[in-house]
Amino acid sequence: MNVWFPWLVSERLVRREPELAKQVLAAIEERRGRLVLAAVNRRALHGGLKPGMVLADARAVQPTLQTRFVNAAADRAALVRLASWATRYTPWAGLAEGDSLFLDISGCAHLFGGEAALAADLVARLKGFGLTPLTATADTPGAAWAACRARQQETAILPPFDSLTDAMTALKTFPLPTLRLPGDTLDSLTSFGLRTLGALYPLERRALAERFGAEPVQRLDQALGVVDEPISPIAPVPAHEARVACLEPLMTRDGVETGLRTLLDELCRSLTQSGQGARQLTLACHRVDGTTARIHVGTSRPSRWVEPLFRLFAEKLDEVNPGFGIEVVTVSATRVEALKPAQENWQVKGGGGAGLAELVDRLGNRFGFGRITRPTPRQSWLPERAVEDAAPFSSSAATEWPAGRERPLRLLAVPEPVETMAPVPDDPPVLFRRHGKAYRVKAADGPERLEGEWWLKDEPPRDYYQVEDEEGRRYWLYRQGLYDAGVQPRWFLHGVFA
Amino acid sequence: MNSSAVAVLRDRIRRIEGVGQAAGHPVLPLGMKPIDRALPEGGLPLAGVHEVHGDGAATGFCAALLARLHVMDGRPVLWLERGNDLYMPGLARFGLKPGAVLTVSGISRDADMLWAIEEALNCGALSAVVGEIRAADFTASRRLQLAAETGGVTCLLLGETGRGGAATALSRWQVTSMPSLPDGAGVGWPCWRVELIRSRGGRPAAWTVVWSPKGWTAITEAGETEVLPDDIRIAG
Repeated sequence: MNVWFPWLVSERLVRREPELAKQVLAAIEERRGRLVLAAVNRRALHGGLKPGMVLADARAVQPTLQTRFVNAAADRAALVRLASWATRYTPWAGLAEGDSLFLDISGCAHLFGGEAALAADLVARLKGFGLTPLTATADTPGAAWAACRARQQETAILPPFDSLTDAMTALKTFPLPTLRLPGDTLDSLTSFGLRTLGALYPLERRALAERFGAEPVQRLDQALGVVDEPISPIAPVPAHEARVACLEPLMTRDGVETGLRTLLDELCRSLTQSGQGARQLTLACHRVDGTTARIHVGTSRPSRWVEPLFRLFAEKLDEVNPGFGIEVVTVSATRVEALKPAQENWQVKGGGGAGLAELVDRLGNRFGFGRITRPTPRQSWLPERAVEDAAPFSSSAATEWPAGRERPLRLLAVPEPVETMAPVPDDPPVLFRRHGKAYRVKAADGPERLEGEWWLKDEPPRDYYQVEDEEGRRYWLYRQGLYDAGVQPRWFLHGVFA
Repeated sequence: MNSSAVAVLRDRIRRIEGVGQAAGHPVLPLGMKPIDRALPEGGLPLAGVHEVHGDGAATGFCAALLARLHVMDGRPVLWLERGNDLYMPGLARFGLKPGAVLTVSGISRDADMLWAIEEALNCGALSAVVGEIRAADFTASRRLQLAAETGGVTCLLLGETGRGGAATALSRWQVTSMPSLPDGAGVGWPCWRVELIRSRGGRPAAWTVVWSPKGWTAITEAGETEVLPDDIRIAG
């Protein structure tokens, strides 16, 4: 389907300045040092103005002409927003030439009561936004684009192309400009007296290509369905998606929950068929007013079980404000991984594993998966590097923590500088100060000299001491660098023992 | 009244107290006779909430309890951290094996912490959950107790000293550092004052606990201990 907004630029200007609605209006831009009309509104067109006209000439024809500069970037952004809005109908929604969108509705028209009903629904909603859309539905994007401009109807629908002859018949009378060609190619074709698509059929393709370039042939083949033309979707199309269009807009959380459960059921079946599990999912609630609320959840390992996934979403469902009602709900698996039946058995039967995976998912979605770790040993002398923050379900080698090294229970992420009194060089301090409080050292073990691996040796070695204060609390202090007569040594608190 | 009748009565009283702890309920003996004797079930009743208050020593006490529990139970332990400073190589000293502990760091809000503890207790795939939380009010504490019972998971609430928690926990401990027992030169074996402030069906008591490479040993206030490792000399 092609959705064309012939008045997009002027309608956007009117939206910003409603008083322009009744004016003869044109958007202008500078081309080769002259101000030229880039787009006009309906009144201007009826008054004899056309895009491409020089502003001075246009003013001569229509002295009351109001002009605004074109903001091409903003217009394009608006079109992108419209495409993203259109994903309520299909994930295959992309931008097309000339202020229009392509929607591939082949798999989802039935959800909205068929192609005609979908088109009518889409047009009605877009009109509600203050736009004037024209649409055409056909078997190929090219044919839809052509039909949209040839027919200029709100909901034009071409009969299905069961054969090439069907396609040729359907497009025969369409004017040549409906073929999406650059202006100069179009001009030279027209100068040869070619005015309709049908006029191109009898021409020899090689001669056509030699004289006018590959484009006319390619566009014609695309429109007729001889070659495929893929739509570039505005957002990545998920491999698995389920959607439901609600007859009555959903106003309550209960309603959304019911829809969500149904969709997850469908999604999980589709995942099972393809032997995959979801790692990331998105729930999109398209509201009546054209806005969309999205919730993203992640899992720690591929999953295709309705209940756990449902609970992950349920946790965040309060974030969805139904507003004036939700009309279309989609659930898509935006990241999937292979999930073998063997893993599935393990997850279902080994209750512990499945329960833990589910818990990790729930914690991960609330606090972030990066914060959940299963710390395992790593070969390094530096204490802050000696722990690998492995993922909860990573298969770690069954190594032990290095024996014989006294390590604190709590290690400060950033060593805290402390003031010390260490009267004897190369001895532990007899007193240190932290947060203004003095701690008298009663006993100390050390030093244990720790250095980074050779590739990290940009830092001086550290001499660690375990010291105990008068109340029996134990601290891990270190002196940075070797003892040097001229230099005041710097001491740090790095951890606390039990 | 013979002793078995007394036992039956005790059991009934405990049930009336609403803990749902009947005889035969899983219990974790601490392996320190003086302390186990003071606990009505002969150890720490599992699948319930216990509060441990104190400084670094309290972290060590929890680590030692979890290590014992993990050996007995085998399921992993989840440690919910307020900050991000728990250091596994240090916990290993108290017998926790690599991979036995899952940690979630940086849960700074109490509401988040309580939510996470309750979720973890409900999951039933863990042997224990440690939540670093200063205080849980009566309702929250009661919820945790119920979740712990249902999920069959033990819950340790590890908080700072001096804050009274709710009275719904099965026990409350206060663990503070004490000057270490000398083992020759330098710093000696870690030494803690372990106070059982409250326990369901038991009486408060306090001990000195010494952690040596052979495990822990409790000394009662009166100075009794069953076996003190040879290499520990009681100072003073």
